Amino acid sequence: MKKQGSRTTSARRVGQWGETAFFAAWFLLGLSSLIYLLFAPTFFDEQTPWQLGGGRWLVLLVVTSFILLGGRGLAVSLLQMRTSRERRSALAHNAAKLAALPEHDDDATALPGIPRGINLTNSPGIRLAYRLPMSHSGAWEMLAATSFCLVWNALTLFLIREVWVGYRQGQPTPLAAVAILPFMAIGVWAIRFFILQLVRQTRVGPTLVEISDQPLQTGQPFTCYVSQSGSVRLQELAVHLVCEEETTCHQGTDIRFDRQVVYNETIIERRPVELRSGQPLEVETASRIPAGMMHSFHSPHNAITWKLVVRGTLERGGGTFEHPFPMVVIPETNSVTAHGSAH
Amino acid sequence: MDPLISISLPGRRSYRPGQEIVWHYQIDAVAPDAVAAIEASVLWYTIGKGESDLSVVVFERRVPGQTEVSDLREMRSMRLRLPLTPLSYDGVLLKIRWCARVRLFLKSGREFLEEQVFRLGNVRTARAVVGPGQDLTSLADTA
Repeated sequence: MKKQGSRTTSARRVGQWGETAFFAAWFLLGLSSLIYLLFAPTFFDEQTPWQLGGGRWLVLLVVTSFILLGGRGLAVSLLQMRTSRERRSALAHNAAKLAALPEHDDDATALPGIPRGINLTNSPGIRLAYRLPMSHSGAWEMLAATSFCLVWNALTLFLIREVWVGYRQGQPTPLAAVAILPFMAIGVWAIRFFILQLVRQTRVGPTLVEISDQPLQTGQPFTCYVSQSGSVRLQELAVHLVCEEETTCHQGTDIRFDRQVVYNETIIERRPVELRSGQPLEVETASRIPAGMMHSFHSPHNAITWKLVVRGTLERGGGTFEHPFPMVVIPETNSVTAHGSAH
Repeated sequence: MDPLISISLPGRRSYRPGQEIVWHYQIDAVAPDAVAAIEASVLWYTIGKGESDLSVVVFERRVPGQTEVSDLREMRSMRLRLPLTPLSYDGVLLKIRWCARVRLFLKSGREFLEEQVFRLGNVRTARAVVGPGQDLTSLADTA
């Protein structure tokens, strides 16, 4: 097929020149400021504006950061202007190959784009071959709930005290008293949320998940063992086999994460479940990664992850807990080593 | 007139992981002494909601005077064994595309690009489903 090549020189070049000019200006501003800062006392008398004592070091720090950030940006944009994206990728690939230790090189290049999952295979299980690590334990949610509850209610108590003092001194502020009501409502909600988190953390015990094979292949059957301990009555406990897409993008100064589930199969479902101290619920089941599905994938801004998600619903409005256990899934064929050559 | 870049891939442009292929490219409608460099590569890249990632598996840059042939416009054949992963993927938030790409740099400073997309593997198209604990409105948000 013969096609007219698409021209890529106009708009992209303008953008590249603009970016380069921005970083060059930033770098030059920093450099000229530094020169002035260092040599001003030599050229001017004692009344120069740079005789500022400790503040001078702060100015020096800011100016140096201009030079470093502007200089880095200038170098990167110049490199990008002179080099195509493919060439940069090839250079990075070769550099990574040279830097890699020989024993690591084979593993990393045999199945490119698939996470190696070393942490997923270094923990042997008791029932099955591998114990999966939990990707997050809920400790951060607990910390966030505690911090928010404490800070918000401290603020609310301070405001209540101010209104009360005004009332006692004969200077009531009814408007302020009304304005406190929403603060109090949010404070009550924060206390309730904190208590729910506390109950969940203390009454729902550790979740253990073990699987028979790792990495798994698409289409491959596997056995899964789940142990849930605790001292609570659950309305439902379910284990899901999940495949999820994850993307990251920069929007200005923000970083935006997006997730989308593309496969969700409930492989274990029990309801209701009475968890007693020292008597964990133990379930072993067989499942299969569906044939024709995508394998695990990881690149700097995009990923496809497979995981087992243990999800429990506490009775009487006690909320839910969700513990994800990541796995690595590879394609069915894995017998040839990739290489390229030209002739 | 802009230069013509032709890329020829074998078969129906759908290959097995690890398969060996020979592909060709050729440049036309440009004077031989106007060519500054030609870059030919086989690569995968992502498109979708996230930032695009790219990885090259074969890359070749040819510059006049540094190759065995004097005219870089002539047909060039490249043989490569395709890697095992990542497989081509049509997902909801992201897609993984494989392609053979040729980039032509002219001495005037202009740059031209042509690519032929192909499929690696046979992964089925993904669709959004309800995740654990999610309701149907999360699917509506995706759509």
